[in-house]
Amino acid sequence: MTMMRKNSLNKVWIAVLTVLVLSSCEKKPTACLELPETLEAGTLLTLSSCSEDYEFLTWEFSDGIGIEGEIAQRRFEDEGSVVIRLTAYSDGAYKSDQVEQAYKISFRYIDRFEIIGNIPYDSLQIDFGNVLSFPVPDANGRFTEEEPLVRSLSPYTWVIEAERTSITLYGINFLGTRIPLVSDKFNFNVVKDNPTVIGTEEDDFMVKLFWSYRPI
Amino acid sequence: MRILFSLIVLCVIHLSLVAQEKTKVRLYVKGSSDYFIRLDGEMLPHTNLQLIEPGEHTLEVWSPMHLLHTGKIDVPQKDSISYYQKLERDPEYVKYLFDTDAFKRKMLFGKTLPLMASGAGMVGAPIFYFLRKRDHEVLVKENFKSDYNIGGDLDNAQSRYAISNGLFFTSVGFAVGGAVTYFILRNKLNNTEKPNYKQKNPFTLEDFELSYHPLTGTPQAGVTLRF
Repeated sequence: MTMMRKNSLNKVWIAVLTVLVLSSCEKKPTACLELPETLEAGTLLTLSSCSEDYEFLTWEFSDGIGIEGEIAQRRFEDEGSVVIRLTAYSDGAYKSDQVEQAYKISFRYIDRFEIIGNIPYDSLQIDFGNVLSFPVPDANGRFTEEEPLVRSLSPYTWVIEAERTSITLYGINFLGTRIPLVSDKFNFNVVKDNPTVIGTEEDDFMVKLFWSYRPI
Repeated sequence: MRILFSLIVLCVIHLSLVAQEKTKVRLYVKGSSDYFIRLDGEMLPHTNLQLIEPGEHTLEVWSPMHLLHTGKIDVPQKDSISYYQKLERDPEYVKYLFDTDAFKRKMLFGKTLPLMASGAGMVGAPIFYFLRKRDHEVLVKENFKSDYNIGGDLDNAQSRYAISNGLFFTSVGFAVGGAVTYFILRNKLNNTEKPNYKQKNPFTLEDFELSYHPLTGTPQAGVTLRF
């Protein structure tokens, strides 16, 4: 084989290798999940990822649901656990990265109420929407942030409904009449504060709702 | 004046008698339409109707790419005759034609087709690369949808990917194969000489002149040949 032919063949291979290198220099995607340890049941969740350098994502849930897209919207009806497998694909889907993570699923349970204010009534009542009503006996007195009136509930019994809910604190006078003291409306799909505060410091009364997930 | 008129009449009569002494010979040459005829060493005009004196003559007929025919023609005392002559193709020219065909075939298979295949492959490969990439993405999505029963058309995606995959690898094969074939055969083809036909003709070059055409601005050559 002559030197010239060798050079020519080398040029061909260099060209072929260049094409192969250029076509394979696409960045490998990185799949990433940054979700809270527990996912709330009974509410529509919008799951998003922290993946990078990807063209599209697929979400696979251990309960047999698959979703293709940037975000995944799921509503878990039952408590338990779920494994989420997220796959990030490159442009053309020739490269991919996968991350798999187990999550707990639990409803939000009302733990307790803390009531702050100067209460002239013997008893109080907290209405949670039109469904739940919690009586608070022996309420008369002055309660501060440091020493509030605490009304504890049996653990993991009272579920916070995700729909728009009004919470009202009533004072019960000696005639048994309910006098509204403070009230507010919440959409628990959006409001995730713990505690959730009803009323402000400027109001005469303030109620703090503490909640927790069931440990699974 | 009468004497002068009588002389002119006699001359005309004499000339017509002389003309009547020659025979009209119609020459038919088979094998070529472009030919030259030499009779007893003298070039005849470019026409197939000739006036030739009766008797035996030496006749030479030549046409490019044909062998020179040399023969005798016996012209009788007739009003007109026809003469047929077939010219033989020059065997060298026939060989040249075969060699040219073989040379063209060699160039076609060793140079033109590999370069065309390589060029087509190089143009097609990037196009089909992007088609294949897009179809692969669709295929992966359709596979996923099929796994989780969320609609889609997996069969269509599979056949589309198979086609674009095939087209891509065929293009790459053409590009690489064509280029490799071309470079392997290049030196061999470079050493192949183009066939050459050297016309052996009965012409003698009398004058050759090179000049420059003032209007077209191109060089021009002028030759004077003698048969």
